[in-house]
Amino acid sequence: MELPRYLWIDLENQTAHEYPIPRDYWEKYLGGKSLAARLLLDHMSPELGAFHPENLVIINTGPLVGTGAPCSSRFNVSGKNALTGGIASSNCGGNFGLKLRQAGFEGLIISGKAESPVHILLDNGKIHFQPAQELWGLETDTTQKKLPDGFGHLVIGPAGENGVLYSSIFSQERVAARCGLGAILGSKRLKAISARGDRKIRPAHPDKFRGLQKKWVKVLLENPMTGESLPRFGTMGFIAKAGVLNILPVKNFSQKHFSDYESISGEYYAEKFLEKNYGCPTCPIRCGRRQIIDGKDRKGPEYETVGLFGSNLLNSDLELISQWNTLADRLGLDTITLGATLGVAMELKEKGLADFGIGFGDFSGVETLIKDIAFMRGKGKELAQGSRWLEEKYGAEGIAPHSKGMEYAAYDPATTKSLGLGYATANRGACHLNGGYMVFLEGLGPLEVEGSTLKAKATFTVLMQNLMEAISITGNCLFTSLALLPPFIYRLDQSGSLIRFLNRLFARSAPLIAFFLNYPHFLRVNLSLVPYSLAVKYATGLKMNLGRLLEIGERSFNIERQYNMRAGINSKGDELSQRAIHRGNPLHRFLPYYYKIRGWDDNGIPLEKKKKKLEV
Amino acid sequence: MPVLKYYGPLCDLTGCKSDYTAATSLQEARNFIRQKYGEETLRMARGCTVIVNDKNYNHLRQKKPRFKDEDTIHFFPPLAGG
Repeated sequence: MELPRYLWIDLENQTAHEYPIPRDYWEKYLGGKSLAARLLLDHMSPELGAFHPENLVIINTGPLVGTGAPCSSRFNVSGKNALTGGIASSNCGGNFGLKLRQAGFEGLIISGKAESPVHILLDNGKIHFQPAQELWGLETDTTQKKLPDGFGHLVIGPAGENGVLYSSIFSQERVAARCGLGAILGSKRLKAISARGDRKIRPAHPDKFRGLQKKWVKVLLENPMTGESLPRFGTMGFIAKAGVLNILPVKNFSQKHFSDYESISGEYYAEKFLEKNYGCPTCPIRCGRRQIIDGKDRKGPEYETVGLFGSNLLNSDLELISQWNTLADRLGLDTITLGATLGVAMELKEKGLADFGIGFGDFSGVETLIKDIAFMRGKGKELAQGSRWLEEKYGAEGIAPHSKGMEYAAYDPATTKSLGLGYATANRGACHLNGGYMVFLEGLGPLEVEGSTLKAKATFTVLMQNLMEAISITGNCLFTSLALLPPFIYRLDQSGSLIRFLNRLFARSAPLIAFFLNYPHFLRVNLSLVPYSLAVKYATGLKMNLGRLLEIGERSFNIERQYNMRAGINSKGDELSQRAIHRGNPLHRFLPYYYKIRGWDDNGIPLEKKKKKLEV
Repeated sequence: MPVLKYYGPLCDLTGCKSDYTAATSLQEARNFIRQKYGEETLRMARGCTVIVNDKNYNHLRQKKPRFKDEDTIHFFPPLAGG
């Protein structure tokens, strides 16, 4: 397979040239956020402010994108994190990633700032810069409708144009939501990119790849998580269980239980609102939901949005949540940070420190406020800076639910303690996915870390972070990881002795896992249950096995950490809000174990030995 | 009386979201489900994570926990999140 083709696009001069990716970069970083972080470290000064014109934005794909592997139409956007000042990476479905590769490119490196709004058109290997003055100011859905048919589009909304620190990027109705990358594109006056082409992505070993592809689709469709729950209830399927287990955020992450969880559950949504489900290209899972809002066919909300707009604000009106979700999407706002910031604003009012016209139980001003945030008007201008800024401005220390400046997802770290460790150590800020999605082992799945030691939990967190990183890099959707456990485990008596035994065995496997984390080259296997390494091997022709892929995940995590350190984010950034600590997250007892397992020193700095081993 | 609550596809089989039962143990609760809804429903209920109030049944300290009148016993089939 040929080396990935990257195009360096200079917006200031409206020129472009091919940027050769060295072979060893490809082998060591593969693509996606990992290769992007390496290129950012090479070419973008970490000291520059978020909206400095010299900053780069990298939009790229992974090796499985366009190959026909299931759930592999995703693309990554990396750059400066508008909320944290460190590294940003955000992953997105939709059709742009697929179309970008078909247009002839694995990635785009975007530099400079255009004089006036611009739309980039990539058509079968050729690039055209088009004025986008008439698109500027339009919402994400309207913008995409105005762009030419037959292309995959990536667009920002008014929030990105106006510099809201948590504005997002859209492809169809899918979102690269986090880190404020929409605002970074907006600062460059880049409104949209469209791509199309007839390039065929041919796997290096087509027959073997097709065989694997068929088996993989079957695995996804036969697994109760990806074959039954996600298609029927979407990501909202977990709401009720999260409500019962006190995982949902409640009243700005200050309380334990939301008694009205059933009225915002996936079951209730399916009964009252769901019209049909849909999926991204190449996805057999089809987790997207559709409903009618204001007479129009719209995308339904996801778990995170329902948690942050719902229980977090003491709001049990699912119709209202769906309306705010649609509005935030159209304006191009990240609903996670938006929901968390609204929660802080409501608490500030309750404490008598500030009044933004909204409060817990008083939602009449929310819609107007969301619009004001996107257009940076009036009080919305302050909320556009995110929760950490609000907390500092109004002297309400410890109430903003964030790490490094980016807000928690809809899992309370006071309950999901290992996920709290994940939030604190994730390079882009408090992210449940970069943080390792430990809720999979803390309430979601049949296997769990309850009862394990802190050291064991830290070990599992590192494993899951490296695994999530690796899957993301391939261009595959992280939801496929929900099918990693074979269906028979779900058919066992979940309160029986066998599942208890398996859980005890699992908890005691931590030392073995720690060994493989340190010596991944001993994992020279490709497992059909973890098909990613085999898929990459057949797609690219690269020597690949599970150990190598996990090592690429680890390298990615470390290279992003290195970028953050150069940007001035050190171990002090490995933090949670005081509230989460007071409510029981043992983060400071976790961290020494975590650093040691990662091969970092007591201050969270990767040791020379580790850097040498990972060649970073 | 303890209340049994059903979620996801389990509701399709029971046709309702909850039941009151005189059951005082998980075994009795499952017997109640089998008698009222049949073997297929029982099979799915066995594959459910059982949560008593807000604690996973498997984490309860007693070896064979007894349900109290005010307890809510939740039956969750595999349900994915985001």
